[in-house]
Amino acid sequence: MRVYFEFMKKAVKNSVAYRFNIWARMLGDLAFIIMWISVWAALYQGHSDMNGITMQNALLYVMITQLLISCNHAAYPIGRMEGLVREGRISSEILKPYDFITRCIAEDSGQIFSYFILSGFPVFMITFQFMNIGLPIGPLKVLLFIYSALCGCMIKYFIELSFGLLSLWFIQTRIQPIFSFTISLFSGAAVPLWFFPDWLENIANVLPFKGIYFVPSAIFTGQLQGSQLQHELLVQGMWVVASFLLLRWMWATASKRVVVQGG
Amino acid sequence: MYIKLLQLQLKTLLEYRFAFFSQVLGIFIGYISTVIVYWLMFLRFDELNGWTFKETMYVYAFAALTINIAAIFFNHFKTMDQEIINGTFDKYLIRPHNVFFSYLISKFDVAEFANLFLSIAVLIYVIDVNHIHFTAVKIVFLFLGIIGAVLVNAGSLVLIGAVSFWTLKSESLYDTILWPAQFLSYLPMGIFPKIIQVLFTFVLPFAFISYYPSTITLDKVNILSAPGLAYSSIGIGIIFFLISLSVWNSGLKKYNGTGS
Repeated sequence: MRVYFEFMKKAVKNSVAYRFNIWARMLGDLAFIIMWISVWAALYQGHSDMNGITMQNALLYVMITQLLISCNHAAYPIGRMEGLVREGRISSEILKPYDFITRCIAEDSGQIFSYFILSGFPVFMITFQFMNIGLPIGPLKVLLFIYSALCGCMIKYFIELSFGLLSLWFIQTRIQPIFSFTISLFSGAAVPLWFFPDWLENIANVLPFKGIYFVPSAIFTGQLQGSQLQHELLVQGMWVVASFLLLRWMWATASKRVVVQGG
Repeated sequence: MYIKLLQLQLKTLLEYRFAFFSQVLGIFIGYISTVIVYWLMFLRFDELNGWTFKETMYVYAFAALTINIAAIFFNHFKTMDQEIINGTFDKYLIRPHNVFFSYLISKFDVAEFANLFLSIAVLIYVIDVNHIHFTAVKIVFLFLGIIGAVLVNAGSLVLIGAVSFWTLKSESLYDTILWPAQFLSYLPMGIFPKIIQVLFTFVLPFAFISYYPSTITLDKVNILSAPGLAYSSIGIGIIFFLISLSVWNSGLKKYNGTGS
């Protein structure tokens, strides 16, 4: 356990070390938040609400989603795997006396945490104060939101790391743009699922990706309540387990493959 | 000589056909995904600050084309930091030509060039669906607008490269600042707060990548508080590019200083 904690600490130290990067990142986060706020505010001109979603709901949605996106993007498991395979370092990773997957998780959660503290959260708080939108939910819902956001983070990370492992079989970067766009579309990163046409929403409902951004952000805006909320949280939890099992299974298969090739 | 270099680039391309096709596919998916996101936004809402779906698509297509053209010639300025770190940049210093020119012609992005056909096709399609009535003046300013916008894009890539003379790490600057800023230029600038409009007009002239020139083509010059801006793309482009170039050159001088 201590080893993984050290990895996490090292990752935090690393991201704090490049102060210039932090400033650049904050500016980029701010630009995206302002962009989406402006877009939705402009779309809502002349509409008081759309499908029961008010402009305040939509603006709060994009702000909290941008915070989650900023944190989630702090880790880049696909690139990490691709680099390890390309440079051939993957084989030495297997020999080391720790579990490779847990090490990745420890390091990247350290990185995600430090970006949350250093960029995502302050940028969100500044815009939140500036926009003067009240928080529509109580402390219990805030806790549920945090739980849901963490689940979403895990779903995205496990799936992406599994996808990254594919590079042991073929050059998966070829299909990566399609993969990334699928995640971004069905997770509600750009447009919330509220505004999807029915057929597209039905597709989104059977995919794991809506748990990444849409579910936590919908909880944060107070749009998910009662039995619907319970249902979504349950489904999200199941996807966390499922994607973790997928990752474990892929890694078990992949590490065998590396050993066979190496021997 | 440039042609000769181009032939060499094409030859290496044939060696790495695979990487080439994935890059082209990536650019293509980029187009499709933006169109889908815009389509979803306009499915429920009919206007973006007075701009329809088709008009917003024009703003995007114009920006994408000019970003594309600039990328063909200047994309490698984004990764100049790698060359400096690896020491491969020094070879341009000993060439008999101007250093900037030597570096400029060292690479020609063939995937972006292939993508040019797609960008032009998309722009022509969007012009068609918008039923734009062209006059001689509009056509002249369309081309001047394209040149101006390409210069703004090229200038910003040169500027990103110039930063690597000082900090040695500029690619993250592209990812965190220039890329989001390019995103903003895909949209009608009028939706943004005044301060951003001023910033993107006079400091980093990204509003000239598409917004100002688009107002001429789409007969929307009257919505601007200063209509003259729409017609000054080319001038702004030249000025911005020259400023970026001189920043690059002064960075080079500093780099020479530490190198010896």
